[in-house]
Amino acid sequence: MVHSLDPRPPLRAALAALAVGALALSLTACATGPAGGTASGAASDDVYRLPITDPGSEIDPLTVADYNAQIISGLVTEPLISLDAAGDLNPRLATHWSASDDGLTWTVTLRDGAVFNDDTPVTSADVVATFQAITAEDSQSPGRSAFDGILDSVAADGDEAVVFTLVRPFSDFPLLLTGTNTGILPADYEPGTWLDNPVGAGQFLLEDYTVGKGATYVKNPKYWNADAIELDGVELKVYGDTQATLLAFQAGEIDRIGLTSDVAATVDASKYDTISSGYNKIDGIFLDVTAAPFDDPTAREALAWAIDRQGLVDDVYQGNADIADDVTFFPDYEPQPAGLEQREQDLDKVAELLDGRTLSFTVTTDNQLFGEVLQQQLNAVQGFDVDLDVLTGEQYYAEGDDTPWLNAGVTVTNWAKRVPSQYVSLIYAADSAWNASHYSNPELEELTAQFDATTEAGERQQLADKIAEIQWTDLPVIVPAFSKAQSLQDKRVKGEFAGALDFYTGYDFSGISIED
Amino acid sequence: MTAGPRLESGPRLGRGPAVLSVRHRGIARLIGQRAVQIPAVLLVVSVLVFWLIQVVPGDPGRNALGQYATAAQVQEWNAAHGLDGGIVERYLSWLGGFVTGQWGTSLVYGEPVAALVLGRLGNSVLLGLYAFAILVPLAIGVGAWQARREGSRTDRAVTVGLMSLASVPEFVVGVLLLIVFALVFPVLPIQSGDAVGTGFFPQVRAMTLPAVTLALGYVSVLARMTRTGVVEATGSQFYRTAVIKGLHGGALFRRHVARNALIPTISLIGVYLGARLGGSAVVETLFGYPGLGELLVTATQKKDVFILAAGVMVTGLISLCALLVTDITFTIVDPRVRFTEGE
Repeated sequence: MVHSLDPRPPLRAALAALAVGALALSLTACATGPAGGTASGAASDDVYRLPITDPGSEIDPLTVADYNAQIISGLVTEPLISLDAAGDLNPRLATHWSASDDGLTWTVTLRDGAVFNDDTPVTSADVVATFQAITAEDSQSPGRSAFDGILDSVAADGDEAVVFTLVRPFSDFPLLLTGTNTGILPADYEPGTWLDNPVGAGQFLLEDYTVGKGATYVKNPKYWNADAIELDGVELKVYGDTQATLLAFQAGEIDRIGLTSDVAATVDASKYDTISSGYNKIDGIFLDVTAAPFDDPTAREALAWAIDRQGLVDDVYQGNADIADDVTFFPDYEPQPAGLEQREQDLDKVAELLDGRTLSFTVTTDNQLFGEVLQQQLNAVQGFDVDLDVLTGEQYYAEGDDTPWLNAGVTVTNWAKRVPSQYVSLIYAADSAWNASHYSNPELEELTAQFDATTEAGERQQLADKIAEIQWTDLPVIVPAFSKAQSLQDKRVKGEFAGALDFYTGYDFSGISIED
Repeated sequence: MTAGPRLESGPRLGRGPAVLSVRHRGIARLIGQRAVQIPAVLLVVSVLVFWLIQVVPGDPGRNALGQYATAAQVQEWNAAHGLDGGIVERYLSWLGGFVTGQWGTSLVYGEPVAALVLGRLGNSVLLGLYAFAILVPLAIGVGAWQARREGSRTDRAVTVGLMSLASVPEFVVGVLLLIVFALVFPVLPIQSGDAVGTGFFPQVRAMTLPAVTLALGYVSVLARMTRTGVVEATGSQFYRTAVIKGLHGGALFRRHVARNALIPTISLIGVYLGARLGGSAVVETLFGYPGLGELLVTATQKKDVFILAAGVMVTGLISLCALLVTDITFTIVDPRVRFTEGE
């Protein structure tokens, strides 16, 4: 028999084995376990699950710059002070802070009994070392820019107090202590080693961090306010795709998602809690005041009156913003400038200001949606001929003297929430590296210095009015809206977040729990 | 494409040990040729990667420190990470390190590149093998089944179905699977990253959706090729001769159809295998699977030249080795392949 002499063809055997194996694997895959299981078995615990994207930088609390890297380290570290959703300051490692009469020194009293997660106490030496590392001449910390021209030195005053000496009086100095990279680290911390030993005095302990996968945290039992932390842990899950993030939220794999236009269009928001953590940024329209057509103040004014601000709020921010009036005082900041007319789209005024001219210019930005909506709005107004140049973030913020975001005639750039005078020093001051408008007004800078130097309410109100009037009149930057961070949250989460999770202000999970 | 064995249509060299000896020497020569060609190709690829990442917009220091860092801080960061020299100097420094096993430290993650790349490569290989365990029997089975029903209504229906599947991008297939398994039929995790390293079965479950997506991307072409091969084989003279001799059933199919029909399919599988084992950026990103493709996407976006260069070298090496294995398999499986002396 020919058949019986034939060896069994190895190809067929291999295929058969592959087929059986694949079938078995697939059936096993479908048969075992729940769909949304987590790496650490966290699903059965009270774990808050957040989506992130792969951080774009090394994880070091002193240098982290983007949201994803900030939250990875920020859950473990603890700031002196944090900012809540209403814009108020909350004590964390600091219990009290006060300024000297001349406003040049701020003394911060530290919390008694606070310890790092390695059991060593948090002392003034640690705070001094942290701020010296942030503000050192060779520091690579993005947080350094907030203290430039403001903080002169920092020194210990005993074990439990720290004295910050300022270059000039700065009444909002405590707000700077809530900013990026200000989590306190031990004095002997070696930059670049944080992932080897994720030290901090914060609410959680980093249990595991895997690049491309995410991070898991457990509650820090030694946290100074551990009783207020009801969660067993936090899980950060890396998603590389917005559609996948959205579906993961709908499938219940994560507890929170930012309320973007895609999310709003896809998700039935009534099934979730809508939460807001307050204002988070402005998208400023920067006009080069040294070049045509916006070297002419009437052209700048015409543009400001041509914008449909409510349209921007609706179409760009999905309603999660408040209309602004071209000044840098966020609505939750005190004092609020008074006496300015709220700009709204007024086509008669535009026609009067343009007097038959047509303004032709290009808007350059990395914010495609904002750029497109703005372009459509303006091109619908007689007297405007607007082109749009949308760049990637890398192109827009490219290094070099000719970087687009600081050199194009009209740019749209987002700036995270800051105190009003910081905006002046960063984007209005003549010697600022980020003065994209190439604007100069010594009077504005002098008024801002006076504003920073005083804590007297009446005087601050008067100065705020004058600063805002200059910003409103000169219009180097059009501020059409104050954006809010808004998210959808799974209803299994109970409690109210004290502050933002969408940007660093000292993450705070106190009072948050999970309903099983 | 490197040179491979060729189909010999000239005078036959005969049978027996003499043929085997020639064949073995031919395979050895093939391996020798590729041992020279592969490093040369990789060298060119690495130069291109270094040059391309230099000319595209963006700055690693700016990416790392964000928009609020000063230009001086960005320059300091770049200098501290060895990015301030000339491109030739940096390339030669990297190349020297790469060939001696010192692959450097990631600009993005601050972790050793070798550990990152090889760890992710392991994940991608697992996913690729799982996808092939689904793809190969499915495609060959469907193709052979179609061939045996050539011209029938079911053959035409399956052909239309496969062509439709081929026209749908991998990304769309993945999103559809995500939607189905997230919202309609939630029996599988829609994100794979959680389960990596947690045990065999959890990992297999988590890899199922990306593996199926990868497999479906190739099944139509592979099945079509199998069908064509089987149809040609069953229409050949040797098949008719075998039938006339009295062979039938499984033996006829195994000995006279499968071996000849699957030769082009095997060649294609080799090419696919090389590409799949190196990772799939789209599928890995979509399903959150921590593979090499996903890592290279991030490295490209963040201009992490050390990860990108090492990753491209590794994926290039895999692809070229897969081609070599394919060619060797080809010479072993295909009875028509002959090496002539001196080839």
